[in-house]
Amino acid sequence: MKRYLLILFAVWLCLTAADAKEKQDREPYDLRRHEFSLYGACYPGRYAFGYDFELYPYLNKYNTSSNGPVSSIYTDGATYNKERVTNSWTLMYTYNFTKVFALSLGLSYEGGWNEYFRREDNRKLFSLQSHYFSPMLTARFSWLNRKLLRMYSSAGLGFSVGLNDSKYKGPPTSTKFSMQVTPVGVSVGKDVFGFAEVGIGTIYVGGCLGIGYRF
Amino acid sequence: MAAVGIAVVFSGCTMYSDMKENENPAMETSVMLYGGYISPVFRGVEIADFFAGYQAIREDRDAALELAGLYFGTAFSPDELFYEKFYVQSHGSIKVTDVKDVYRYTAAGLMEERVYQITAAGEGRYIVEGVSSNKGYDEVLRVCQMKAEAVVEDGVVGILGLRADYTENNDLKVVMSCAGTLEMPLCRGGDFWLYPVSGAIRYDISGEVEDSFIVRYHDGNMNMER
Repeated sequence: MKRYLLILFAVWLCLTAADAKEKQDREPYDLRRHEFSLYGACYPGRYAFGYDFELYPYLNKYNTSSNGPVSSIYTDGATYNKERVTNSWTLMYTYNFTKVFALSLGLSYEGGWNEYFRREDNRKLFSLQSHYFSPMLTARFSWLNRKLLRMYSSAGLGFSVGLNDSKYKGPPTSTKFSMQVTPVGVSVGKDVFGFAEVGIGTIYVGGCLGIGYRF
Repeated sequence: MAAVGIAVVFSGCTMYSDMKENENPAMETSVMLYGGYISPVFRGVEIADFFAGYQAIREDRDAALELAGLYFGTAFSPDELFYEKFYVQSHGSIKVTDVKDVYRYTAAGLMEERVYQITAAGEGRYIVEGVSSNKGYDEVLRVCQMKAEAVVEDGVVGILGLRADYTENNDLKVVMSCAGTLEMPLCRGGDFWLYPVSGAIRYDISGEVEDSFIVRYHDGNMNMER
């Protein structure tokens, strides 16, 4: 019985010592008020809810399905396209009110170009493009704050302005509601930091990676 | 690590091209028209051949189910076999009409209802007729009027003659016709062929597009001739 008590005492001593050492290692939290960051969506990026490069609606006859009318199958067969999309990029400024709460103002961009070529001689027939800009205000709550590591959640609201060229079937500009929810984000670093987030919304669906600077 | 991150993010800058899609519009057209208008003729004749034989024995339920098993294996449900109507998921439904030996066949597996009238002319011969019209999401109205003569012999459906006039309301017309007897084995046990094992179909396209070609079938393969 005495032996068990001694073992228990030894374990308690070890745990206490470890806890004391951890507290000693933990420096006081260094609150930097300002942050600038840049991030890009990593997956699936272009398929975010907000941007509709897939639609290019007036091009139905150049993008017919296998059940399309015969006339469209031939028109589609006579051409091919090259569609380029930039991915979704965001530049963000964050003000840390406390170590837990911060507000961010971000501007996201995603652009796309669609060029059509004649299959017979590869001659370019026409091209069209769309660009989306999304300002957004985001509230961030940090629930783990360490010297080099922070974990947080955030939610943002804003709007998205689409600029489409004149060949687009829809209006030249369009405005949509925009939102982004990030259940988990993690940042590593002190002044210069890298971060990764998992989220869903109009800016991206999936994840994002970025870098930032605090001062 | 940073390089991997940058690579992952930049991989979102994508380029898509349909350069390798729909390189042969004639073949795309033939596949679409065959699937929509000619393939149901094979399925319809097959179910009609069973249904015509079934009418003579329909009061003997055991014999009727045995006959259905010979044609469709386990692909049919006995609960779908009525005196005046029969439904098989892979084929569609067939009903008797007021006229003896004339059946109303509704094809399965299509986006819209497509109905054919099938007349059993005796000795395994069938006349298939139908007019269908549908408007897709693209607002193009498609109308197809068709007539085919088929025979069921030695477990094979043969389309001896066929003429289908397909039109779109954009002045395009496709005439499909037999360029050699089209043959396809009966379903027998639930498995069925999607394309004929022999024969050929001629397609003549006029109007907004001008094209003519023959699609020849052999042992599950097809090739196109101009």
